[in-house]
Parts: sequence; structure tokens; C-alpha cells
Amino acid sequence: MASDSTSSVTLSLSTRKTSGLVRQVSTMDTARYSITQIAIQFVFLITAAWVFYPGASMEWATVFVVLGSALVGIVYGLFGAVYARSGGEYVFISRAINPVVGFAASFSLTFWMAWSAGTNAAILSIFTLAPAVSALGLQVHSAGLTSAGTFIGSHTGLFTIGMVVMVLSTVGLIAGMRIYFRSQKWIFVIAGLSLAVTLVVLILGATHVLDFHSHLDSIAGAGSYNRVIATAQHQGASLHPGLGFAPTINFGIWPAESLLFGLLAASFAGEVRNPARNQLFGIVGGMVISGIALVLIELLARIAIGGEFLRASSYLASTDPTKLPLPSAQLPLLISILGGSPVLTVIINLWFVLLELLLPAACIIYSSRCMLAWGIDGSAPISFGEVSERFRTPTVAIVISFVIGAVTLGLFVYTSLFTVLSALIAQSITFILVAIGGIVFPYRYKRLYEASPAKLTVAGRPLMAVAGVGGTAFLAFIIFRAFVDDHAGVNSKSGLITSAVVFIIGIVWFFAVRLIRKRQGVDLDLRMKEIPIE
Amino acid sequence: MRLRRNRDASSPSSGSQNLVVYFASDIHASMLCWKKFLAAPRFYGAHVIIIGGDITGKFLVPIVRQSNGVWKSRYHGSDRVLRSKTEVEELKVMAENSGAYAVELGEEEFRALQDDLQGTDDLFLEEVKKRIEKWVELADARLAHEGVKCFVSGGNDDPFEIDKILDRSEVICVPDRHVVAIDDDIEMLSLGYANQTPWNCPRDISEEELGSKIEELASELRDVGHSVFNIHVPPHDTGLDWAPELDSTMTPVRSASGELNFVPVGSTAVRAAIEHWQPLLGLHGHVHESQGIKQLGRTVVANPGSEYQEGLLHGVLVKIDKRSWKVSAQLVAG
Repeated sequence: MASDSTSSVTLSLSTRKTSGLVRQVSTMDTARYSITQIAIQFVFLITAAWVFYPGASMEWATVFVVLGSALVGIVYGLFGAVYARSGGEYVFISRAINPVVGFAASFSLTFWMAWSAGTNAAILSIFTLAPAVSALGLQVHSAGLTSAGTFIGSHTGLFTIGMVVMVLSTVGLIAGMRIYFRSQKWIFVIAGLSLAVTLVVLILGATHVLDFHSHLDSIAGAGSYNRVIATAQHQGASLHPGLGFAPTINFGIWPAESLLFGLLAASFAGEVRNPARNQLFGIVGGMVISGIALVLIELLARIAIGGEFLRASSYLASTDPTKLPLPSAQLPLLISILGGSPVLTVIINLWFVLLELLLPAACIIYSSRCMLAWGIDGSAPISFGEVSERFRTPTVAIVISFVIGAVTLGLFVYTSLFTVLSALIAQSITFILVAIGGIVFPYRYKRLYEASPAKLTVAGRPLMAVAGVGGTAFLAFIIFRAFVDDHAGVNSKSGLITSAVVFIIGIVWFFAVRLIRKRQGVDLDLRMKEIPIE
Repeated sequence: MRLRRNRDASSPSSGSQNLVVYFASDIHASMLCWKKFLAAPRFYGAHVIIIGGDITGKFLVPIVRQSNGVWKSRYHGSDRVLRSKTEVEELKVMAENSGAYAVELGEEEFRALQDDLQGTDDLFLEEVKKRIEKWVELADARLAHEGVKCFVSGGNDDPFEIDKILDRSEVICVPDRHVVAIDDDIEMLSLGYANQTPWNCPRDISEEELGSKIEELASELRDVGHSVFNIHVPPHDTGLDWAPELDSTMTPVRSASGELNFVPVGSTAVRAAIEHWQPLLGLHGHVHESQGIKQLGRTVVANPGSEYQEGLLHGVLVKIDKRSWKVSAQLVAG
């Protein structure tokens, strides 16, 4: 039996002096990028919403979403393997389905990512800063700190801090990616340590070394723990609902708000590559790692703090906050109380605060990059594609993203037009179009597909198409649930109208720009039309 | 040096107010991209088609005949066992379309080459030349009666040996290191060189040398303000030359979140020359990731980028109005 004497290394790589031959980017690099986009700190949303889905298991809902998101992630990863350099939803959907739909979907996602910069600037205060400061105030018995926490969570506090964060993020990004990367590096180190400490505290709580019940009573008054549970139960909260399959998967839209964004990590492939492994496993791997972290935190929090109390406190915080002996029921606050020490409170809250602090900038980066691509493409005014000579950044696109985010921040704080999840339907529609594109691509572009590293099969069928079918079904479910789930607030009239209007604007924009360019002697229809050969 | 000999004596846009130029670059031996390039005149209505360099491939794909009657190969990161001549030919076509050179070898031959760097280099050069010869045949067959001007240069990655092969063509003009007329009214200077890269490629030179070569050619142009600079390496820091930052092991530098950092790698000499001479148009390639159309003063500069491995032919379609001298350019991906 001949041994595998085939090694391509010597013959394929080392003999040619050609520029651009770089080492492969590692799967872990792509996974890190995917994890960054996912925002595992959103576990605070998951635990806050849990009580309104009686019978739901947070952990199993997260597993369900990991599996569904991974299917879409496979499609994204394989598309990224085909279109290594000119990737993104705009290209994937335009080529696989239709350029109008592709542009409109990209336009929509771009808007909602800029929108998310604003909401995340507010979430920073609501779910991380306010709970952190309040927890400290309670633990050191400082009325000043407790009031500060309350102020941070007020409209004025949310808007002021949110705008400061938005402005600093925008200025930092305009000044250059190096600043962002440098801050990110240190934030990741600190957040990593903080998360580790948080997990240790949760484990100690789950194993009864630390006692949340007694810590809460010592801060909020004897009997507070039981009073919260009793009050919530009296007011109609379902605290012992058992476990149900339907409620569990219905609850999935909450972990989906976090996990689906790992899809945005389509990565540079380079000349020497094995994208089938790197991008595919990187994106899916990032989702799996994040999913494991989320499940761990959910499980440990449920045991350490108590499922009953977790539900009861969230219920009261939402329906009758005056009955809650705490400023809020956010998870960072509760874990801080579990830690029982101001020093631990500072450490525990660092990862929540720091990772959330990065999100507005991450959203602006995504949104501005899409606008830059349109400007280069001719699908938008040239100024969108302009890069500052001084800073080498797409200044116009960054500023536009900032403006959208800033307006959103104001609307989010001072009106009830939008909720945290308002963008979910529109964003999921873009994702589902990519998933559908994955179903048709191997058949519609057979030659390109078969010559690419995306040509992987499962049970004799293209993996891209199989994953596309599963991913489409999953996202269709998420979109359906978003439409019918009143607790999530995605189906508010203003949110739905905005989603529809933005998509329609994208379509109108496409045709308008096409007409304008045609008059300028540029035929945008040629942009992605494949040249036929014999 | 002025290249007086053009393949087609008559201007393809004679009498027409507009000149349509199609420019692509960095197709790195992709047969599919070459065929698309040859189809570009009809598809885009181009009078002139230009390839700006880097037309030879980077990879050999050995297909090794085993003693048990199968062949083994490694392509796109996965090992393949080919059980018939048909499968071997299919892999060869796939490799050819993606710019690789598939060679069938016996086991002994393969083992010998693994220890013989010079032998491998020689084999590589042989395959490079064979591909170019095939391309010349195709071009002569397909463009013979199209009435289009076709210019093909080598780039910094390309060995000089290919120039002679291209020169044998009936329809291809090799403009590298020359000034040529692409039209009755418009001349083009061409240089396939690049500023020094970490890979020490065949046509890498210093910025000073690059600057003086451009100077020499530019001074030959009759009307530099209405000329084209077809220079493989893009001008420095224009957004057309951003490539991933590399460390000393040629690994892309990544941020803590896994993102790449892009840095400008274009030529300062090219930028200085364009800013000084202000031609009508600058056409560049070299950096596959950095497609775009920009303005340097009054000069429109463009880099179509490249995704040759996927068989996508990125190009720039330029329309020059010879009355107003207005240039409109768009990126296309066929």
C-alpha cells in the first residue's frame, strides 16, 4: 500500500517569489472576531426576560440558538470561502439571489447596525454601569453611590453617558483603527480576568460557599429575599412553571439577539488558504464557544442566585419596581451581591462594562465599512467611499453612522418607539436572505461552487445548501416569533414600520443611484454581471 | 522607449468621441480569467483591453501517479484520490481555472523534486511558459477580427521570460517599459515593476529606480495631460494600496478581537510621478484587496482588485470622452 507521499508544501509554495503569499490566518483568529461580535455580556438581557416565558429553560434555549445560528454560520463561512475578498451580505445576496435584494438587505443591516450603536450606548448604562454603581453603593452603604446608580439609569443619565460614549467612540475611530485596536487589546485582557472571577464567584455561589440569600438580606434588610419572591408570586409571576419545549424554543429570540451576530465575522482568507476550515470553523467555533459561556453563566446564575428569585426580581423590576428592595434586578447587580464584597463587585462588573463599552464602536465600524464599500462600488455618493488623507479612515461614513446612532439614542431613551430588540426582525431578514442564497448558490453558480473550497458535501448534497435549508428554517422561526412575541417588543408598530421603510428606501436608493450613474455614463448593472465564455 | 509597432495599425475608436478601455490585473495564470478577459471587448463594448501585470501563477499542484493505479493530489487544502484519467483531467481544469499549474508526476519524480529546489524552479518556469503560450494561442484565435487593441504586461511577480512569448502574438502588444498609442489621441506608458516587497520578486526595484524609469517614459509622451499611466504598483497611501500588515513571519497582524490591520504598501515614486505629471488616468493592480477608484489631483487612479482564484475577473471600465476629456470609471466584476 503506497503511503501518502503527496506533500504539496514544497512544490506548491516555496518555489515562487510572488507577492501576497501570506501565512494563513488561524481559525482561532476568526473565532475571536466572531466572539467579539456576539457580545456574551447580553446574558443580562436573557436573565431579565426569562420570567416572561414560563416553562422556558434559558440553557436549552441557548443551545437551540447555537445550533440554529451555527447552520447559518456554515453558510456565511462557505460564502466567505468563495468570495474571500469582496465578501459581505451585499455580495453574497446580490450574486446568489438578485442585486436589488442584495443592496436593500445590506442597506437595511447597515442602518440597523448604526442604530445598534445608539441602543448599545444606552444599554451600557442600563445593564452595566447603573447596576455596578448601585451594587457598590449598597455594599459600602453609600447613599451617594446608590443615588448615582439611579441617576445613571435615569433618562438624563442614559442620554448623557450614551452620547459621551458615542462621541468618544466616533472620534477614536476617525483618528484611526490603531487606537481602537490598542484599547481593545487591554479591554480584552481585563475583561477576560474579570469574567474568570465572575465564573468563580458563580461557582462558589452554586456550591453554597457564597450565599446570595444572606448577602441580599444583609444589604436590603432581613427577609428581603423571601419577600421579593412572595410579592412577585402574589402579583401573578409564574415562579415554578416547570419545563416546556415550546416556551423554551420561543424564548430563543433572546439568546439569538446575541449569538446571531457571530455571523458578521466573515474573514480575510489570503492567497494561501484553507477557508473551508478557517472561516467555517472560526465562525461556528466562535458561536459554540460563546454559547458554552452563555449556558455556563445562565446555569450558574440560576443555581447560585436561585431560579425563583431570578424570575421574581425581574418580574418586579419590570411590573412594580417600588416593591423591589434593590435599584434594579440586572444580573451584574445580583452577581455583585453574591460576591459580597465591594472589591469583587468592581472586578465582576468590569467585563460587563468594558465589553459593552466596545459595542458602539464595533457597530459603527461595521456600518461604516458597508458604506465605504458602496462608495467604492458606485452604489452611493463618492464621499461615502472617501478616506481621510490624514487619518486614513472613512470619515464621512463614520460620521453618518454616528448621526444615525445618536438620533437612535435619543429616541430610545426619551420615547417608547424602540426596544432593545427592535432591530431583530430586519437584521434576521438579511441573515435569512444569505441562508436562502446558500441553498441556491451551488446550483445556480455550479462552476464557481465546484471549483471553490466551499465544495463540501453531506449525504451527497452540498453542505452549503443543506445548512442553508436548516438556517432558513431557524431564522424563519425567529422572525415569526419576533412578530408574535409581545414581551420582546420587536413587533411594536414603530419598529415594524421603521424596518419596512428602511428596506424600501434601500430598494428605491438602488434604482435611483442606478439611474443617476447611467446618466453619468456608468452602468451599475455591469457591476456583478458575469462575463460569459464559451 | 517608444513602441512604434502596434498590432493593429488603425485606432479601434477612430471617428468615435468616446474611447472605452477595460483594465484588469493580477489574474495569476487563471485560465478562466484569461478567457473572460478575451470576451471583455464584446461584453463591455471596449475598444482597448489591458492587463496590468501579475499574469503568472503561484502554485504547482502535483498529481502523483501511484503504483496502485490511482493518482493523489492536494488541492485547496484537501487531499484527493483520483481514480481515473477523467478525474485527473477535471482536477487539471479546476487548477488551471484557479491559476494553479497542475503537473502529473510519477512517484519517483515527485520524491526527487521534493529535494531539488532548482529542479522544482525549472519545472515551475516550464509550466509558466506553457500557460502563456496557450494564452497567446487563444488570444490570436479570439481577437483576430475583433478590431480591439490588446495590451498585456508582466508585473512584479512575473519572470521576464514571458515577455518574449507574449511578443510572438499577432494581437497582443507588450507595452512594458514603453510608450504606446492606445488611440490616435491617447498614449500610455507602462511599467510592470513594483517597489520592493518582502518577497523579492523578479520585477521588484527600489523607489529611486522606479521613479527614474517613470520619469524617462513620461518625458517621451507627446501630451502627458491626456495620457494613461499603466503602472503595476499603485500610488502610495491612496486607498488603492492597503494590504494586511504582516509580521516577520509573513503572518497577518491581528487585533485582540481577530481583525486585520491594513497598511499602505504602494509606491511613493508612483504617487510623486502622478502628482507631478497629472496624466488623465492611472491604472494599477498589485494589491488584490484594495479595489477602488480615486482621484490624485486631476488624475483618476484605479485598482480593480483581484479574486482570480475564484475565477472572478475584476476590472475597471473606463470611458474617456475625447471632446471634454472627461473620464468616467466604474468597477466591474465578471
